[in-house]
Amino acid sequence: MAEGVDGETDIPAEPGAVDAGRAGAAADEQALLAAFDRLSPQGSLQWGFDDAMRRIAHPETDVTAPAWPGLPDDLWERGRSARIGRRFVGDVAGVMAEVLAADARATAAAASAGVNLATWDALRYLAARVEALEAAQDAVPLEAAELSLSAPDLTGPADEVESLLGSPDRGSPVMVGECGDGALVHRLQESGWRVEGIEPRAASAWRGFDSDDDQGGLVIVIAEVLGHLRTVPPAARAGVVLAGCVDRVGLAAKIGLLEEASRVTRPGGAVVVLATDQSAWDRALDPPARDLAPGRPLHPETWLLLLRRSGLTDVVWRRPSSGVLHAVAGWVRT
Amino acid sequence: MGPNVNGAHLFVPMLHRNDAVGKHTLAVRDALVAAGVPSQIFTDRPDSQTVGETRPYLDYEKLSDPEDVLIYQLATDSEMAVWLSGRSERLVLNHHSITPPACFASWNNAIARLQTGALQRLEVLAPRAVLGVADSEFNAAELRSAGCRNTTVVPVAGISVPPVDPGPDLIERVRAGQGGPGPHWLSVGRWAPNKAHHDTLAALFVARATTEPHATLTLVGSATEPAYAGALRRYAAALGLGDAVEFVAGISDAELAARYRCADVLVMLSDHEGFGVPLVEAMGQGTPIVAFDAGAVGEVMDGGGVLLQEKHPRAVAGAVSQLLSDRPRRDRLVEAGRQRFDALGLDRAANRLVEALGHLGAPTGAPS
Repeated sequence: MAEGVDGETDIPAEPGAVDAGRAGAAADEQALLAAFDRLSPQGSLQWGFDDAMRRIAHPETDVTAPAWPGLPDDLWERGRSARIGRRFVGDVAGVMAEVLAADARATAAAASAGVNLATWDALRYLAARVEALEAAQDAVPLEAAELSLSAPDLTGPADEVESLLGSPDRGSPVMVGECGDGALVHRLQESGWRVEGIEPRAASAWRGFDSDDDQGGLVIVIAEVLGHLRTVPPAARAGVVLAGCVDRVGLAAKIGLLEEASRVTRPGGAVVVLATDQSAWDRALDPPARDLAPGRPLHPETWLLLLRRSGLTDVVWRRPSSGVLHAVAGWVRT
Repeated sequence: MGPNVNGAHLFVPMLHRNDAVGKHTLAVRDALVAAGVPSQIFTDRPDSQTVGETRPYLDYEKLSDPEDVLIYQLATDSEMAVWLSGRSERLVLNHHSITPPACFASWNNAIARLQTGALQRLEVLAPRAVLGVADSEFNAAELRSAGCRNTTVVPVAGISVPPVDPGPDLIERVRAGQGGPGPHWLSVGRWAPNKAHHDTLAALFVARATTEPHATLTLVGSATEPAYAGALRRYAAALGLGDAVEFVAGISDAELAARYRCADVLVMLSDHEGFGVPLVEAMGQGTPIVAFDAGAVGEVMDGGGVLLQEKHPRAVAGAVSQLLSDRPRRDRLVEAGRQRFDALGLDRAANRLVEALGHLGAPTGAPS
C-alpha cells in the first residue's frame, strides 16, 4: 500500500498543508493516510511527481512498479480551481520520467541512442499540453459583474422564443442564460415550461426574486453561463436560450457557448441565440464597457453560419419585432 | 436594550436555513425582535430557501439610522465586509470560525482564496468593531489578536434546547438500519477537508483490522466540497470499507437526534473547529465522544468526552476501543457531557447577545 510515500523523498510536502495530529505516526500509518492525500487534485499530483523523481533516480529498481495512471478525468475538469502550473510541471515531469526511465533501461540493455528521440517526444508532449491548458482557460476574463453591462431585456423577443421552442414540455427544463431579472423565465413558466434561469449578476437575480409573486417559484441560478453549462449532463435540457453572454464574450467563448448549448440540448430541442443588434450595442454601452468587453455582438448572418457549422438543423433568423434582439435558432438532430 | 440603539440589523454573506451560522443568525434576529428592537437580515447573495426573510445589503442604505447597530456574521469572504468597513453606524463583529485556507489548498483553490480573503476582512473589521462577539474563547482570541478591543463570548444560538427527542419509532428505524453487532461510530459535519473525515476512515480501518472487526461508521453531512466528498467514497472503497461506511445527507433534526442516540460513539477528528456544534449535540443526546484537540474542541467539550492530542489511526482506534470497553468510564463521561451541555446555557445564547448590545456606548457618527 502507498509505496513511495513513506518519507524517503526529499521533496517537501504541499506548502501550508494541514497535517495536525499526524506527526510521529508510524510509517504504515503515514502510508495509510497518504493514500488518501493522493486522492486530492494536488495530492495526486504530488504523488505523481514524487513517483516520477524516484523513477529517474532509480530506474533499475522500478521496472516492475506500475506507472502512475495519471489524474482521473474529473480532476482535470477541476483545473481552474487548482494551480495549473503545478499540475503542468508534475504531469510533464511524470511523462519525462517515464520516458527517461524507459530509455535508461533500453540504453543499458541495448546500448542504443534513443534518449534524444525520447526527449523530443517529451517536448512535443509539453507543447501540446501548453496548448491544451491555454484552451482550457476560462475565455471570459471579465465577468459581467465587473463591467457596467446591464442584463438584456428579454421581454421583446419573448413571443419569438416561445414559438421557436415549440410545445411546452414538463419533462426536461429549458435553460435561459443570461436571464436578467427572470422576466422571460416567468413568461415561459406561465406557458407551461419548466425553466432554469442563469444570471451572473446577483443584483438582477434579486430583482427577480423580489418581484416573484409566487415566492420560490422562480428558478435563477447565479452563475456565469458557460461555467454552468459545463456542469450540465448531455441532452439534459429541452432547449437553451442564450442572451447577453453571447454578445459580451470573445469569439472562442461564443463558439464554446454554442457547443455547450448544443451538447446539453436533447435531440429535437432548440438552441436559440438572442443577439443584440450591433448599432444598439454601441449606443447602449459606456466607452469603458465597450472597450473592455472581450467581444461584441456578431451579425445575425454570422450566427446563422456558426449554428449551421455546429451541426444544428433548419437554422432560422427572426428579426426583432420589438426591442433590439435578433433571434437565431437551430435544432439538435434527432 | 439600552437607549442608544435604534435598530440592530444582521449582515451575513448568504443565509442558509440549516447551517450553524444561518440558525444562529435567525435566532438572534428573533431574539432582537422579541426584545422590541427592529431587526432585519441583509445578505450579499440570496438563498432560494430564505430569500423571503432577507434583503440585499445595499437596501440598508435606504433605511439607515445613525443609532443603528450593524452585526456582521464573519465566517467567509464577502464584498459586504468592504462596504461595512466604510459605514458610520456602530459595527458588532460576530466572529464564527474561519477555516484556515491551507485546509482547502489541495482540494479547491477558489475556496482557499476565499478563506484568505476572510482572514483579511477580519484584520480590517476587528479594529473597527465596537464589540466582538465570539462563540468560543478560541475565536475571541483571534478577534483580539486582529485588533478588536472589546470582546465577549456567547455560544452559537439556534441549537435546540432541550435536545430534540426523536421518539421511539425513529430510533427503532435507525437502529434496524444499522445492522451488525457494531460498535457503530458516528461522524457529523460537512464533507469538507477541514473536518478530516478521512482520518476517521483510516482509524476505522485500523479498528476493524485489530480489535473491532464489526465496527461501522455513519458519516452525516453534506458534500460542500464535492472533490473531497468523492475522495472519501473512493478511499472507503479502496480500504475495503464499502459495506462498513454509510454516507447520510439531508436528514431532519429528528433523524439526526436518532443517529446520535443509536451511535456508540461520536468520533470527531477535525483539523480546525471554531466551536463544534456536533460536540454539543452529542453531549445533549448522551453520546460518548472521542475528539481531536483542535481549535475550540477542548474548550467546548470541557471534560465531556475523550480528548486526543494525536490522531494517528492506531491512537484513535485504541481510544474508541478503550472507551467502549470501560462502561463506568463511558457513563462518567456521558454524564459530564450532559452537565457541560447544561452549563453552556445554549437556551439563553441569543438573549445574551442582545443584552451585550444594550451595553454599547453612544454612536460616534463616523467610521473609526
